[in-house]
Amino acid sequence: MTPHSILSDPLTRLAAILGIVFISFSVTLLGIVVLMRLWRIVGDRRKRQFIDLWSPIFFESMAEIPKTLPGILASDWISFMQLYNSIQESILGEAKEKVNVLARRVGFDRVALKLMRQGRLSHRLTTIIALGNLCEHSAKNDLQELLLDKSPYVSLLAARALLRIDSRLAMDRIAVLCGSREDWSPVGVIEMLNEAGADTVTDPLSKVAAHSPPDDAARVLGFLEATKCTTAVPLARDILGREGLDDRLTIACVRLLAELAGPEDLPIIRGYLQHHNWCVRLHAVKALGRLGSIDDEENMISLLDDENWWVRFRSAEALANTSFMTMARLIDIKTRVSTKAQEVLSPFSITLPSRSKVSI
Amino acid sequence: MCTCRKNTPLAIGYARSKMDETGKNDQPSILLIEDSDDCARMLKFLFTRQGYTIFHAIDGIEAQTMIDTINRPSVVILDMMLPYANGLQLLAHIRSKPSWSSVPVMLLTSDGTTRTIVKAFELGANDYVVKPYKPMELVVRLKRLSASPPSTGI
Repeated sequence: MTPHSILSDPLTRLAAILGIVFISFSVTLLGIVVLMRLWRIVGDRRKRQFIDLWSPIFFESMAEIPKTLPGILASDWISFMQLYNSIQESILGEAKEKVNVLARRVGFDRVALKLMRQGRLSHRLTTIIALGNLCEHSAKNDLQELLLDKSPYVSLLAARALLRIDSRLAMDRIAVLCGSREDWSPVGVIEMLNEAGADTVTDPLSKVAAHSPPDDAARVLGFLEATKCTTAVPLARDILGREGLDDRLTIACVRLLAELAGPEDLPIIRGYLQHHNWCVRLHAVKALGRLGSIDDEENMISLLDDENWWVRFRSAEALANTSFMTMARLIDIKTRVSTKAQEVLSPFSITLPSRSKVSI
Repeated sequence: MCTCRKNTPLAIGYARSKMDETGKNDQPSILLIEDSDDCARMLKFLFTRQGYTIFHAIDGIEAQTMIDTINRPSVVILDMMLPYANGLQLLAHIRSKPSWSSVPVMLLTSDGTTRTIVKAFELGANDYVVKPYKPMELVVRLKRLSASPPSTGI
C-alpha cells in the first residue's frame, strides 16, 4: 500500500490534516511560552541591572547628588519609578527632598505626568504614588479629576497624592469623599489621614460630619475616632444633643466619646448605658472601663446581665480594666452576681488584663 | 562588605576570621536581620560607607543560626516582622546567650505601637527606630550604640 493510496481515503486524509494542524498548533504554543519566558528573564535581568546601577545613586543623593548621572531609556522609567517610590516610602526628612531633587534632575517630573494618563492600571497607580512623593504641583488638576475615578484604588491613591502635595487645599474636597465613598478601604483612608496629621484633617472632617446624611457622617466620625482627633469630641456631644437621632450616628458618637472623651463626659456616657441599641450600650460601658470611677461599678455590674453577649463581655472587660479594680474585688463581685454574669467574668478573674508598667 | 545571604560555612568562616582571640571584632560589624531586599540594600549602603562589615540574615531561621554560630558583632539591627520568627523572639534568643547578652540591639521596624516598643525595651533592646526613618539620624544612633565607630560623617 503506497502513501498515495492511504491518503486517497477521505477519512485518513482528514485525520492526517487534523494531526498536522494539532502538531503545528502545539509547536507554536510551545514557542510562544518559551519566548514569553525568555522575555520575562531578559526583563527581570534588565530591571536588576537598572536597580544595581541606580540604587547607589539614589542613596548617594541623600547626602550629595552625583555630578554626572547615567541616561534613562524610555523602557526603564517604570523601574526608576518603582525604585524611587520604594526609597521615598522608607525615608523621612531632608533625605526625601534630596531624592526629589535627583528625580527632577533626570526629568522624572515631566515623564510621570505623561505616564499618569497612559498604560496599564498598575503603572498608572505607581505613577500617582510617585507624583505624591514628588510633591508635583503641576499634577494637582489631573489628580483632582482622578478623585472622582470609579476605581476606588485610583481615587484613593489620587487623594493620598493630593494630600502630600497640598494638604490644606485638598482636604476640604477629600473630607466629603471620605464620607461618600463607601468603596474606599477604611484602613487606607485612616493611613492617609494619619499621614496628613490631626491638625489638617480634624476641621474639614468635622464639618462634613456635622452636615452630612447619617451614613456619611457616621463613617466620617469613625475616621475622626481612628485618627485620634480629640478636638472632634465637642462635635460628638453636639450631635448627641440632636432630637430623633439616627442610631448609626448615636453609635458613632458614643464610640468616639468612648475612645477620646475625658471624665467630664461621663454624665453623657452614663445616659447611654440603657439605650435600646446594644452597640450603643457596648461602647458606653467600654468608656466606663476607661474613665469610670468607683461610682460606676454598679452600672457595669448591672450590664453583666445584658441580653447581648457582647455587652456582657465588654462590661466584664470594662470592670477588670478600671483603675480601682483588684483581683480580690473582682472575685467578690463574681460571688454575688448571676450565673450568666459569672460566665463572662471568669476569664478576667483568673488574670486581670496586663497594664503597662510604663505610664504614657 | 560580606553579605551572608545564605548561611554558608564560608560566610561563617569569614565572620570568624574577623575576630581576634578575645572574640572581639577587629573591624566593627553589624548583624542585619531584615527580610526586605529594598530596605536591606539601603542599610548596607549606609553602614558599609561608615566602615562596618555587614552580615545579613533574611529570616528568623537564618538569623537564629547565625546568632548561634558567628561571634558577637558590634551591633544587631533587627526587623520586627520576619518569616519564621519575629524580632521579639530573636531578641529574647540574643539575650539568652551569655556571649551576646551585652550586644547592642537596635529594633528597626514599621511597627510603632506603644505595646511593642515597651515589650522590646523590656526584653533588652537598646534602641527602637520606627520606619520610615531619617538616614543620617539612623547612622548617628548606630554609631552611638557601636562601641568603636570607625569613621565620622555620612
